[in-house]
Amino acid sequence: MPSPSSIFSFDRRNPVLPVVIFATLVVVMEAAFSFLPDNDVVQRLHASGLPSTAPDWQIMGDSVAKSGIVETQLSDCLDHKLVFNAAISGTGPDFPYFTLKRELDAGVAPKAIVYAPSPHTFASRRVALLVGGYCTWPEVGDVFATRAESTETLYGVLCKLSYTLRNREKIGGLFKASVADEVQEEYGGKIKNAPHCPLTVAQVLPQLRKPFSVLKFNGLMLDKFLQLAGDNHIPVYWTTMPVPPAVHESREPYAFDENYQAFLADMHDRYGVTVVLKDFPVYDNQSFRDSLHMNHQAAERFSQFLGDKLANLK
Amino acid sequence: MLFNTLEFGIFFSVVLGIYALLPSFRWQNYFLLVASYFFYACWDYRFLSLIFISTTVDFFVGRLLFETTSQSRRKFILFWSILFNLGFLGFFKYYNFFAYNLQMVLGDIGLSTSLASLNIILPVGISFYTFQSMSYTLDIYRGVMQPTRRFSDFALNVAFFPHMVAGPIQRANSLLLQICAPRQMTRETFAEGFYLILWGLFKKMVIADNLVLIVDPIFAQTGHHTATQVFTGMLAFAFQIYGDFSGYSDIARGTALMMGFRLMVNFNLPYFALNPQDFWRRWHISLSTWLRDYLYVSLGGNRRGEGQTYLNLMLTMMLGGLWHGAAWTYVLWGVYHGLLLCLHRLIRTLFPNEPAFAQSPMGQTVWKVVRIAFMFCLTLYGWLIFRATSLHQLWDMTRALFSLNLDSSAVWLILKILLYCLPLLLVQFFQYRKNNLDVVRQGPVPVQVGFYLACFYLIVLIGGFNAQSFIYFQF
Repeated sequence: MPSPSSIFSFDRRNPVLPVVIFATLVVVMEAAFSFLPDNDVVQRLHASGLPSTAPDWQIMGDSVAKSGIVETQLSDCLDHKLVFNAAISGTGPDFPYFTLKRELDAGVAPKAIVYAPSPHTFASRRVALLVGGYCTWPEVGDVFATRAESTETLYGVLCKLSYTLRNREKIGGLFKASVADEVQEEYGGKIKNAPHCPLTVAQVLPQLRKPFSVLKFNGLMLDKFLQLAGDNHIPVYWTTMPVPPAVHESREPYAFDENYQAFLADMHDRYGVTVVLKDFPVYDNQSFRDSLHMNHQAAERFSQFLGDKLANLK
Repeated sequence: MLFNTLEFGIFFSVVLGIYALLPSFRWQNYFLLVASYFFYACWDYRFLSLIFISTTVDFFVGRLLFETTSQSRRKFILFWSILFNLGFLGFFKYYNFFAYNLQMVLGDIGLSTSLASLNIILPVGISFYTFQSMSYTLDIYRGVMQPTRRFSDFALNVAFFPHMVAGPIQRANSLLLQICAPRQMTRETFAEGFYLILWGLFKKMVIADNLVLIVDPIFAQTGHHTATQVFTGMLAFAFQIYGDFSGYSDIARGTALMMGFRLMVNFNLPYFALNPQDFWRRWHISLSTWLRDYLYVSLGGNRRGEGQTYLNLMLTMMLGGLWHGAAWTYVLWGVYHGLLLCLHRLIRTLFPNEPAFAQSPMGQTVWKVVRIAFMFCLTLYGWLIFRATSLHQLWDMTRALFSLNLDSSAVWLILKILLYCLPLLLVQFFQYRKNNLDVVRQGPVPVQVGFYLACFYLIVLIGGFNAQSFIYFQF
């Protein structure tokens, strides 16, 4: 009879035992890790709560809308109506559906929506972030129901269950990124995500120098969002956001603006979306903190302009 | 459907679950055949017909060879069978290469020809399943085995999904025998399979997929390299290709083992090789033994005198190099290893005894370390030939390497390469010391659990999740 006090006295004739102990330990460790703070992106998603009362106007979109539309400025233009900025940084067009659904369920749905997404997010895949960091368990079913990106959705579920998976880029990145950066700098001439406005087309981030396209999953979730808004008689006002001259110029070879405008026209035809601005306003370089995000003064200027437009439309 | 994706995880879980529930091994075979064809169709369903044609031809050729008694007729049948198989392989893999080079040579001697360059897609795994299929007819011809009566069994032997795309190249007399009899799915096979899959994923995702970030920029650089840069590239690629291919082989063996099939070991600590001959007993064993048994031996092996032996070695290795792909760098890599084998054979003949200082235990260890290190350096240069994008780049990088133009910038990078490889080196050191590849699984339970946890969390945290394809898929 092996001594129970020794961990070396497990029954070594059972070859599956180490696998079972390993699997159990992973589950236990992940449960313990869940008490640790998540990375900034997930924390931001969790922090993005619902408004306490139903706003008259709600801004939706990503970081470009979050920092580019000033609630107070917009409110001033719209007869001091209650404006709530529900845009969430780091998200894409697959998120607003769930935000609006939660607001409807909580009885705090907005009376009108100003939707200002960054067009580049339509081509980016954020399913794992959506499922792993934002969706509740019942909402995961909604994502699976789209029958697009099933593997990514499953990966999102795993992220939801595992702290390590959710935070892998932050933890693993501490070591990995430094290697990649060093090699790129040494041999490849690294293109850095410069924290300033690009002055030339060459300085524009490669991911912004691509034709406009919509990932199937993003398109499906956008349809659900606009359908939900329409079903609940919530008008959606869709606007473009200002860009710096270099970004505007970099899009020209791809007929980016024309394709995006055609997409907006389609949204208008299918869901009755009101397109407030179809051309991307081009602001000077001093107005931007980086390739897409305006500084506060420019954001106020744009909010005033947008507010006036909306007031006239109303 | 790559082994290192969630899709494959789901596919394999479903297959394993259904497979385990089926009442007999016959049903399991039919089911595995369908699953294997589905697996291949996920790559490119159009080339399923190629596998089917190759399978059908070799199945009937095998029966015909067995039933034919006249030796000359058997030779004739075998000749056409080989021609058919190599013709398929040659057309899809080498047509453009040969057409281009023939045109160049004819152009040089003043004969202009116009051989059209075809837009041919290389079917995934064609080199592997063609060799596998050929070994069946060759073994029947040699009287090593009898043909199977069931077409479905032979089709599964060729298309069995764990090894179809990139090996290990299984001999029919090993895999087919397992297909034709009930398999045992035990706790032991499950545990060993689990170990192999996890270790394989670690090699692929942690080592290979991270080192590719170092290798690719170095070989993509068009300007001048320093000696340190070239060395960094060679070192990183040595571990990248090992992690990639041996990782694939381990996952293939692990998945097969969970279903009760035992595939051959494809890698046995190749970077601990003492000499070129030892290296080829350890690296891509399924290919090197295939080439030895069906090519080298068929050419006469070492039975026709020293001169012919050297020639056979060179020819075998050159064709082995060409098997990897239609490029002169692969041919040169084969020639390089052929030369190493010949030189080693020559030195062994001239100096059959170990040096005097290697007689003591201490001297023996030092001599072993020196030989391993020297062979590793020779292997590294081989990888430079293999990875170079052209002969021109190979020449430039070789010159840079021997210019001894050193710079300190890459030293830190070399340390990081070694840091990525440290877990691998540690495990392999113990495997080598104990002369046992299964040393981890035979250790105490806490060691095994610690090993699994370390592999799992390293995969999750620093593993490449962008599902890089396996290098050997292109071969």
